[in-house]
Amino acid sequence: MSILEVRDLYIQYLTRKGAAKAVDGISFSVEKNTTLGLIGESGCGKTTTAMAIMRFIMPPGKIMGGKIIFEGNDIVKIPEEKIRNLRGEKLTIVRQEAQNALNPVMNIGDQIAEVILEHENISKRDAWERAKQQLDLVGIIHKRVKSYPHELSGGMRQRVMIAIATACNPDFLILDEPITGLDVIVQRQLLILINNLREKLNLTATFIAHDLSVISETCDNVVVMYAGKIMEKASKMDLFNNPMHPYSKALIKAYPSIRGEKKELMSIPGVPPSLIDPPRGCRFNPRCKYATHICREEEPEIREVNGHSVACHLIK
Amino acid sequence: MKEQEILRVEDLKKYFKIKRNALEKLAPKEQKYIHAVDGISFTVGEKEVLGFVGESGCGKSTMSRTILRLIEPTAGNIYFNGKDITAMRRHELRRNRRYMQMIFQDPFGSLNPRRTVSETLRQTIRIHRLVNTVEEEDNLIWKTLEEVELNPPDLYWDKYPASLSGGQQQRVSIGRVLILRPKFVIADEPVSMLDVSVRIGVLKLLLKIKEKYNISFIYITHDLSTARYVCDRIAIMYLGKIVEIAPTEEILQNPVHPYTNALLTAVPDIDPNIQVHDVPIKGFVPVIPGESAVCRFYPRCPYSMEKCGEEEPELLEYSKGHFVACFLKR
Repeated sequence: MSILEVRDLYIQYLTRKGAAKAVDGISFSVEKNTTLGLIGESGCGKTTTAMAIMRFIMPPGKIMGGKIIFEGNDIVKIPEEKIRNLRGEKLTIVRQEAQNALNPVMNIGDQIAEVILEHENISKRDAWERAKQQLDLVGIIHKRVKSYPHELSGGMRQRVMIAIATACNPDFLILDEPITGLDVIVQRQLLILINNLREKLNLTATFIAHDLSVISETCDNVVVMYAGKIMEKASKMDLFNNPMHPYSKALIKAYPSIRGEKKELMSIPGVPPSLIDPPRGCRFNPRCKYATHICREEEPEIREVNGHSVACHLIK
Repeated sequence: MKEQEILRVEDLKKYFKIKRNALEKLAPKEQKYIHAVDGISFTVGEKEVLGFVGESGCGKSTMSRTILRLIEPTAGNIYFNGKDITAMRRHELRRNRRYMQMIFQDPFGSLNPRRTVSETLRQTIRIHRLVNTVEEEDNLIWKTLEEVELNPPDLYWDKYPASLSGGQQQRVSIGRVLILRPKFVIADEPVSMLDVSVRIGVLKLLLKIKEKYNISFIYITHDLSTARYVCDRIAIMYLGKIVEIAPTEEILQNPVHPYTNALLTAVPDIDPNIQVHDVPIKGFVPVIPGESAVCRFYPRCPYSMEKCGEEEPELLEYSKGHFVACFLKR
């Protein structure tokens, strides 16, 4: 059963030079108790998609069309009051750069309790107790409940963010680059925490990252995005063992690994296209070494091939 | 071997004073220091890329700034081409700076936003008086842009940094360094802010100019996987010290120090068939201590012995070219 379904979603940002089509007709769904990974280069629309699921898109951004069905409700359409109830309780997000997402003048206990008080009818004292339990859950000793964000390291702040996001037992959790910018050992500790929590709390999640290895270690299914479009969707095993789209292949080839034989690495020439005036045909065609006439003329549709959904003319 | 050596660093130390408040200054209390870099020695050969890998706060950036004397070392000697940089007078240092350059992590932050690409390079040419006429300047800028693969140079000539992508900005930074024909370059996390797809392109460019112009590199990073790709040797740093140094493949295949081991286990892998392991060490990187004559990794080490808390291990040769500072593997 899918818990979240995104259907034909279009999001634009109005700029002086014209409308930037940040998300341009994407569809995917997330099944209960699975984790979906969204990968792609900066500016491909991953974070915009996450923001839309939370309905955080503000002007100059606008959802131009499509549906986001979450537990039977269309997030695009429901009234503000209702989305406020969903956010933080059923639908939560761990944002990029926890250091800036936490309130610097409030201690972490209050910040966790705040969410619980907002959504549940319990006393302040009980909420405070729950805040302590949440800290234990994410591996911070609860004695530190009165600490302020500046007293914590980057990894610990990110743990607090996770504690806030899981405080009300959410049905759906979005993790937007939760470990970017942290040291490698801290990253590993957080990945293990996230994987443990997923099991313990039966979480359904979306994991956004530009780092393929992180996706490979945490997700069940993967969506590869490029310039606002979906290039390929597949299960993790299928995607990493047998990528089909030239862009997915190129991303995997560009990834340096420290294990196994040292392999020749290939960069992807060129830069991602302008979202205001994207290239005709397939958006990846200017950087694709297999591009043919049809790729420059016609936009490929997403088709099912051997368990992958892939948008490429060359795959038969 | 000796004549191929470009850089030799001997027992380099950089201590920072810990600020005291007025009361502490009055009291007969001792001034305390943070030992950011605490006795580091190594050499870099001609055309060699030596990687320094460590977590935030291990002193790798302080070390690189000290080597170029952007900040003054507390103690130690740095020989560049046989001459001691630490003993140089100001004007002499300036003359030699041309040959020792640095590429910074944030390409946008290190380029002047109000100068176009050609103006940025022209400024470097003028400061170091590389050529005499404007025409020669133009030629040199053109050639340099081609060299860093910003083709055709016309397209980039009048562009401001803000209208370039991160990878292109970093290429301009590399061009600015390359135009001086340096002998030795410190690259401080040059690709950590770039997208995975363009990282390899920038690293390949560094390797290309290294071969073509005989440049030696110090490559500073927290990312072992890119280090593997560019470095000939890798040094692992922990709290201001080198704990292990060896040729790249040797250190990746046969890590000896427990800290190196932990770092290697922690690196996530793209292969979905690999089982994730927990890192064998606990706790966080502590604040760099002051005076201490014990192994700095000892409080977090899963194999610590009594001796580790009493003496400081020296960096000794474990196998050929592979040096480790650990009592366990003797």
